[in-house]
Amino acid sequence: MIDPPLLNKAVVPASALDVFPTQAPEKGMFISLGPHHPSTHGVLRVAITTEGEIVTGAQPDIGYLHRATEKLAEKRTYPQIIVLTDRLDYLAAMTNNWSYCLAVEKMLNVAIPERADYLRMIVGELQRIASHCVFIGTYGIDIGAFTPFFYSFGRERERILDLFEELCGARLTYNYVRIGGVMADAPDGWLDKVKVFVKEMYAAADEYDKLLTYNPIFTDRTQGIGIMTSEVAKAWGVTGPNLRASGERADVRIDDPYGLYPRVKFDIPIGKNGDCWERYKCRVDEVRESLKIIEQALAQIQPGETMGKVAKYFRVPPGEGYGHLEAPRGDLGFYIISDGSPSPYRFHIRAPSFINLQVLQQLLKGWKVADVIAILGSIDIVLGEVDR
Amino acid sequence: MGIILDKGPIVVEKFPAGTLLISSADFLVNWARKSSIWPLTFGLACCAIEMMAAYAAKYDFERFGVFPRPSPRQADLLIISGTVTKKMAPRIEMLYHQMPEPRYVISMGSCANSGGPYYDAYSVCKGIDKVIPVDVYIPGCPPRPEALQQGVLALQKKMETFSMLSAAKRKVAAPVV
Amino acid sequence: MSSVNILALLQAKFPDIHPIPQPAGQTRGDEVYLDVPLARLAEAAHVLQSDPGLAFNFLSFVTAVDWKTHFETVYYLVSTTHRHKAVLKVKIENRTTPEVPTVTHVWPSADWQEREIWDLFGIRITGHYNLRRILLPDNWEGYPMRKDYVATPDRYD
Repeated sequence: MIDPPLLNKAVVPASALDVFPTQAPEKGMFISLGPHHPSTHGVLRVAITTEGEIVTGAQPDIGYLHRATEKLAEKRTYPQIIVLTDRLDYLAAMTNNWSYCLAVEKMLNVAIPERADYLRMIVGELQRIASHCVFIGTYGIDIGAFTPFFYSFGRERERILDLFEELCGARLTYNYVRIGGVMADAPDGWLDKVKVFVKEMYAAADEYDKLLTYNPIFTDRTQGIGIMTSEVAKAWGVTGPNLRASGERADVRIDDPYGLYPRVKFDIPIGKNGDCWERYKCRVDEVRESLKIIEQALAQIQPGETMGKVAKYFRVPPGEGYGHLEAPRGDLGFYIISDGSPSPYRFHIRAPSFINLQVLQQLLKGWKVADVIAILGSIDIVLGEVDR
Repeated sequence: MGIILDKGPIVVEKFPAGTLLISSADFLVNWARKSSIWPLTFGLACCAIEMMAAYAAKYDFERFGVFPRPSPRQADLLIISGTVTKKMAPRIEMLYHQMPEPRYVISMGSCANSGGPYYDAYSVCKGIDKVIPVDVYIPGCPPRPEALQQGVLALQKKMETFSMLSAAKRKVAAPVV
Repeated sequence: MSSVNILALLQAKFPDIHPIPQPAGQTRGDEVYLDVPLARLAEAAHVLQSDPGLAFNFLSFVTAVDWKTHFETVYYLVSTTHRHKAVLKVKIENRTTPEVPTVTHVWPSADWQEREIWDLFGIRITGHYNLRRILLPDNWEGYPMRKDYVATPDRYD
């Protein structure tokens, strides 16, 4: 079914006509999937050429949510940009804020108090669980299973959002992680509520396994589909659970540690085959690892300051800095060039979903049209990050 | 059905107790329409996630009769949830024109109301009401799922005020070509 | 591998690649900053990726900066085997028709990022197989991320 060379080597198409044919193929169809389609990944259009049921070419067409965040950041002050970063990967706003603050704090050279770092780690991992809950629910819907959506999105994620609402007042765009620390300390009893939630989430993760992971219809539709070898993944710059499912041991929390991750013990789930099921399974296992990290952080956290010594109206000294971390979708980084003024001179976002999506040009070839949604869903993209 | 609604009320009005008949029919038809609003599954950005949360188990939308439909031909509500970019606006116009009447539009979130936090971006449409007519505006960034449900309830109140007779008279006065 | 060794390996093959000194009072990370002349970029990319001592097999991101007098493209390279990082900066003096060669034959992950540079900055990527607009509509005029860009209002504003 798949050309063996295509499996092991990243192939950049030879010419534009390969990916954007000017006329319909002689044998086969040209299908335009999107930008409005029920598979709720957002406004993405994939132009597919097929021959019978087999896809012969695929070109994702993006830009339907391009909101010019990089240009707007040049007019906003550094704290105002945190609001813009919230809306990039809107399913994981805490890690977006945190990654941006890492970049600015590197340039400011400011020390973060320990309690703030522990709080950042707890909300970061809770956010990772919430983001993977959305993935489990929506991937189930893509494959055709409606029930897991109500369990993971409608029950567990709402519990996490209740915790976040108590902490910072917002359900989706938090603006909680600030430059130098966090916005506010956890209210009384919040940490105990997190402890109770962690216990219940272990049981819920097992429930998802019973409902979806080993469901024979689900495994038939996702095992052995969309195989991405680690050579192809590394060459196309894929990061995150997609890369780990192909067998590569790569995680920014281990390779380039930040915050207090060196103080906690956790494992990284690695896959073997790099098919859709492995990418899904890596994320379910990551939920369990995040729970372990939260338990250790809850045991280690002590009372203290939540904001470092940052002036109210600060100016970042001229220079450049790059801060990155392991977001639920991959390696999220912010590259900032400052010229000493209150706004950055150049603000670039290394968006994992944008770079992960390129691999679809090679990954979809040779599979059936019905597998396109399964493969597209398993890459787990968020259009806010793809288009910025 | 359309010709009954266009010409019928003007004819029935002339009979004795005609207006009573029309207003009872109004009440019945409006009750039927507002109790089963079927929106199009259309989400653009972050507000779409809160819209999905409104459909999900905690803030159940189906108790209002709201049930999402994937095709615009079978939907009567278009919830614009998220930022409208200049690249996406013509497609939204196309979807709106594919919906059969009576159709309604809810603009959810500040990006759809007026451009939101991206009001000075070069690629953002400053509000969906520059493209299609909007019935209900819901402020928020993003609005809570309860706010979206309150918006739909406000739309239901608006639907209750529809009168077949005045709509038919308007069509006579200014016929739509 | 320390920055001194990286520099030594590179300058043996390309004597005109210089490190960028850290200006006084400026902040910078721990990567090796290299100033690569435009003409040397294609060969230097091959060497950086294939040389076993350098082994920069992962291109983290490619972006461009508009410095008002000239353009600059920035390449952030990481070696997953040796755990070292490098930042390449390529200065493009030509402001009317800026051009830079593609690196997709070395690191395919630069594909869409170079298209984004063409779309937003107007820097033509020579040798790219599919140089079309990616984020903006196909009929957009102008390159918005340039510092001298003025948006023309249309019916959506």
